[in-house]
Amino acid sequence: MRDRMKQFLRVFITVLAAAFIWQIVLDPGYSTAKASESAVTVSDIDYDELTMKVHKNGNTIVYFSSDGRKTWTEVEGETVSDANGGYIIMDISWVSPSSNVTVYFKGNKVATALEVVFPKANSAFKVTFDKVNIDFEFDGNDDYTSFMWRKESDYNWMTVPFDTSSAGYKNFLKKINDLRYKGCKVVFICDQVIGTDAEHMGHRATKEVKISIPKLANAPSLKVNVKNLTINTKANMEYYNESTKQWVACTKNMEVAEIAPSVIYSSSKIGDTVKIKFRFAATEKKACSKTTVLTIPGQGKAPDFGDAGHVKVSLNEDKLMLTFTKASATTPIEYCVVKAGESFDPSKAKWSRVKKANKQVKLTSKKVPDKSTVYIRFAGVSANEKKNIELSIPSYYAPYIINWPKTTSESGGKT
Amino acid sequence: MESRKIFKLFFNLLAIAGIFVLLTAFGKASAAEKVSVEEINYEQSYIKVRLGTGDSALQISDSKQKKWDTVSVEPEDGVVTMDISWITVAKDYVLALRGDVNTTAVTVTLPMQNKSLKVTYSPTKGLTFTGQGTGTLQWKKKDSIKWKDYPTASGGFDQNIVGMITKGATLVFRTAPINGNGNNVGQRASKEATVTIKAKSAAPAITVDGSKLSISLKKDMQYRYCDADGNTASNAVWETIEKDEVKALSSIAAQALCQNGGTTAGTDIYIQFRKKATEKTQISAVTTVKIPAQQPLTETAKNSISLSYTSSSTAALTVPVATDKVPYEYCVVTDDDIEQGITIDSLKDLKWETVSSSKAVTLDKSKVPDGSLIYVRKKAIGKSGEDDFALSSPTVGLNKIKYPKELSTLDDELTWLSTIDGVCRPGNASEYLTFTTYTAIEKPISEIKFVKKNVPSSVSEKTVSSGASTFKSEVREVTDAERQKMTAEQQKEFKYVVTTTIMSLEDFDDLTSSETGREWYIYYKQGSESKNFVESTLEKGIAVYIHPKSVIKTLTDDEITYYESKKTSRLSGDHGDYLKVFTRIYKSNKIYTGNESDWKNSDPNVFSFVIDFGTKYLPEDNSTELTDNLREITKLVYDGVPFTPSDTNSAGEKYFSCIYDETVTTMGVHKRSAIISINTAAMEKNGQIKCDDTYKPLDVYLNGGETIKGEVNIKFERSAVVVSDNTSTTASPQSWTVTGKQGEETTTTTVDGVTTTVTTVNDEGRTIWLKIANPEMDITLDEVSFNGLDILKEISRDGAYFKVIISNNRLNKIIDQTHTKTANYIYFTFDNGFVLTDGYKLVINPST
Repeated sequence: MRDRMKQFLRVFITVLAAAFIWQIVLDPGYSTAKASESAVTVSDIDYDELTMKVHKNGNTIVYFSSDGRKTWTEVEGETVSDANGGYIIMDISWVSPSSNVTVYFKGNKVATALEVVFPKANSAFKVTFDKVNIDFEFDGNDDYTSFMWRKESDYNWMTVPFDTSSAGYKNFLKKINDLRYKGCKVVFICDQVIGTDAEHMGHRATKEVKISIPKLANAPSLKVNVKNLTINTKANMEYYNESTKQWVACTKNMEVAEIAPSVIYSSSKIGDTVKIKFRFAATEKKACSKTTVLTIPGQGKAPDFGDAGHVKVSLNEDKLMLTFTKASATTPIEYCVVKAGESFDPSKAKWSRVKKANKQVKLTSKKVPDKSTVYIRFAGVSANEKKNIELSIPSYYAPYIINWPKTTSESGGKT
Repeated sequence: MESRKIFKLFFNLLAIAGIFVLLTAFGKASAAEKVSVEEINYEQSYIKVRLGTGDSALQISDSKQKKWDTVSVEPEDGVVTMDISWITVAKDYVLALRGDVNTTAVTVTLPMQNKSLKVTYSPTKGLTFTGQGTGTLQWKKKDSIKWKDYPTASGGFDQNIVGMITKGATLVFRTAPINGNGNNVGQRASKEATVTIKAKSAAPAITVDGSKLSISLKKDMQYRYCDADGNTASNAVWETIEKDEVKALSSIAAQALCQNGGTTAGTDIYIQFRKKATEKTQISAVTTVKIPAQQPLTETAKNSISLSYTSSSTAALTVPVATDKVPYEYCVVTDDDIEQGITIDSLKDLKWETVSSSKAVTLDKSKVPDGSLIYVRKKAIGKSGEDDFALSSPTVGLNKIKYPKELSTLDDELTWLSTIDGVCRPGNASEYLTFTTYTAIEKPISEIKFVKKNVPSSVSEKTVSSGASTFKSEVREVTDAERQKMTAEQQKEFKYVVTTTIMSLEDFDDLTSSETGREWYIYYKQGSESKNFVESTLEKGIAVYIHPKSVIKTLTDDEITYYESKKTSRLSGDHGDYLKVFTRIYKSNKIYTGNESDWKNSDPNVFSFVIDFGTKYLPEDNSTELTDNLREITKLVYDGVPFTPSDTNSAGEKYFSCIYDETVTTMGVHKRSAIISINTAAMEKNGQIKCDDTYKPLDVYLNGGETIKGEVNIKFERSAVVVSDNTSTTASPQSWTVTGKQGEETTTTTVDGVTTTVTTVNDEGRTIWLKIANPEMDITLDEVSFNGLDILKEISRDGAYFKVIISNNRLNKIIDQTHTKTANYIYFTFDNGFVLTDGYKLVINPST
């Protein structure tokens, strides 16, 4: 019985082995003697390079048809060898991007036709530019996470994520703003996706969207009115507050003291030279303009009364003589008279200017009643680019009370 | 150390330190003074400017440096990156830069772009660049967004071009920008230059000429061989055609043609064609042309083609296998062609005629002369390039053309057929003219032309086709006996005998009156396809001599006098008048008015006419001459009844007399005549002659086969006829029907109650009118009877009429005896023996 079993097993195993050998080794189905020939395939459909790889897969000649299989033309181009009989790099720049284009491929050995549909360029991608707020809105970009942009005049594409909170997007906005100096036309697309095969053709870069970034409007021209220490601001302007880092709306003809208080001489301290940025504020319809910087030198010390000072005062009978010993064209000195009891506002007072050294100004007692105060200050000089004259604001003032002498000889003195 | 030395050292050190300080101080000062250009980037169109110390903003101006503008770009780490895309590329641009604090201006000249770059493309030369200047060439496809370096290696771009010419492409070139800095401004990208790579032009249209077995090619075409799938051998090269030429298939696709002497089929050959690129035209697309394998003719087809001769100038070519769908064609190469160097191999010069059915094609000697070679082949079908296209097959040559000899007589002499005008007519078989010719072709004569030679005439030829009323021609093989009579050469040539019988020379009526109308040479055409007549000549062939006919003349008075003088014997009653139309009133042998001389001229029995014989003697059979046998009358025929010169009637009377006379004309021509006198009284007695009041012709039969018909007419007229009344002149048959007794009158007398009926008969019955043929005739009516019984009452003569009154009494007797319907004619018997037995019909219905 056992022997029989053994015999049976032996036979059984032999048969199995034979079957195995047949299947694996001898069966022509497994033979590698014949080269594999199969239908033509495609890959690497690159819409930037405008090429596509056409894999021969054992065919010696590959054909394509762009007229619905009526006529066939040989695919020609750089041929690259690989394990599958090589591929041809086919130029696809002739395939129109404005519609879906169907092209068929077949080989001379395996003539099964492969249908390849080149997608048209997506024209749904839209960009709208907010020229007031200098920002963008995108539409038709559901399939994309980033876009590419460049200046119209060069080919330098920059990739930017759609995520507006990202550093990349913020950087993009900065660059856009920088372009506002001269204005610039920019181009947006969403990039292609390279196709991998006939079923996954990827997609072209979207159609280009052109946006004009307008030039910044010119900055306002600002001057300091050296008489009343105001700046010719307008309500449609704004100035930059360095401490709050905010742009603050201007009012008409603001005082220097309001915008830049540190300019003003105070507590025996010369005022600070301050640079103030101004621009036209953005409206609903317009963006803000370029910025201009107005540099205001700090307010200086007042001139002196006295023989050694800038202005000598002498009272004669009913004449008051002011001698402006140190006045000059470049350092004019101003004076004004404030009657007793009147209030004195240096920005509103009527100052008279002396530009000549040693000029003498006579003032009558009528003009200068008793107890009036004579104020002097260095006059402000308006900036004059042409003559290279820089701005200087009027200095702090020095007062001198005029006490007309009665019959007794009292001389005035400084307060 | 000495104090002086120490002092010197100290001083030197101080100096050195001072210089050092000065230098560094200056350096520092200059470092802080002005802005500097760090980078000029043309690819990304920006300039990077480092501000001077203390500067917070960059200001720019142009070369004039009058107006300075603050750049609204925030510096980063002291560097302002400003866009330069707004700066014109069309010319050098001086950009002035300064800080808002360090206002010393620094200028940088941004160079204009190179505008000179040009690219052209020619299919033969490829891409040519000019105005490139310095800088790396870059390229991209028009719609691509990335630039690639243009390969510098020679031919490095060729594969790209190869891929682009399928559909054509537009390429853009430039030189790459070189970025600059403060020391070197670099250069911009050049102006872009666009060039179109032309697409392949259309493949040449190539047609294979299946008949000439050639392909027409043009200069600058190229070709190479491939298989049915378009695969080419690995070492296959494109052969260039140097000039326009027609290439024979034997040179460009010899394998396609039949092999082994044209017996085995060729192989399908595939050739690719394209046109070389020229300066202006792109290389063309490739077209593949199939030259289908040439198929040989099968043995069966070859053997079935036959060439036979249908006449001495025509041959029939038959291709039984030819059909509309499988047409064959033949061409003829004559001796002249061979002399000019044209043979069956000169395919381009040959002209082929199509044979598209098994119907025989006629070749005519005029186009296909003796010695011609005929070649047959299957015709090329279909259109080059289509599935049904097939080349013509190899040719098969037939035997050289040698037309058989013309129909001819065995001897080299002229054979005369002789006849008399009017005699050769359909139905007159004994007078048909027959001639025999010998031939190699089994076809009879189809057409005959009778031609007068050398005689100016308005009628010089007459053409006659075979037919029942013209001539017939039969062909058969020669018999041994006939062959014995031939020479050896003739025996070889002549296999058949053609016997032709001319049955009518009707067209030659009246032409023989003059000499010129008598000699006609016969031309004959053998076979209906033949175009040419075999001509008989003055020396050889067949001719017909037509002797003039005999005529019955209308005599002039002088002629009458002449003929009168010639009479040597007389018939009883003399010769009568010379008439062609004669009326004989039946049995009118009474002499009526006039004296003897008058009587002579109006003998009611006899009239005469004269026949001029066409020839004095009978003609010989096969010459134009006459025999020694005189022309004579053989018989006369009247109403189908023949009368010969010796015939007599029951009373022994001759019917006619005939006297011959000879004269010689002024021209010396012997003429012979016959004076015929007809005895109508004698004819009348011939029981076959009917007296029916109708002119009938008397036909005169002469020896030599002539008959003169219809010239003489005789009427036998009844002595009297029944007419309707005494005014009518035409016979008018009557009919009378009686029922019961005629003419009875019944009178009834009543005397005292007794009625007496008395019947009497009025004897005067019907009146019948008879008109007498010639009122001057002395003639009486003797008897009027019915069924042999006399019914006459009274006869009276009224001018040209007889008035006959029937006797009722006599009639009633007959009526009494008649118990069944009886019909018969009343007989009128005249004293001249004439009995009128038709004209009056009597029908007796019996009494009830």
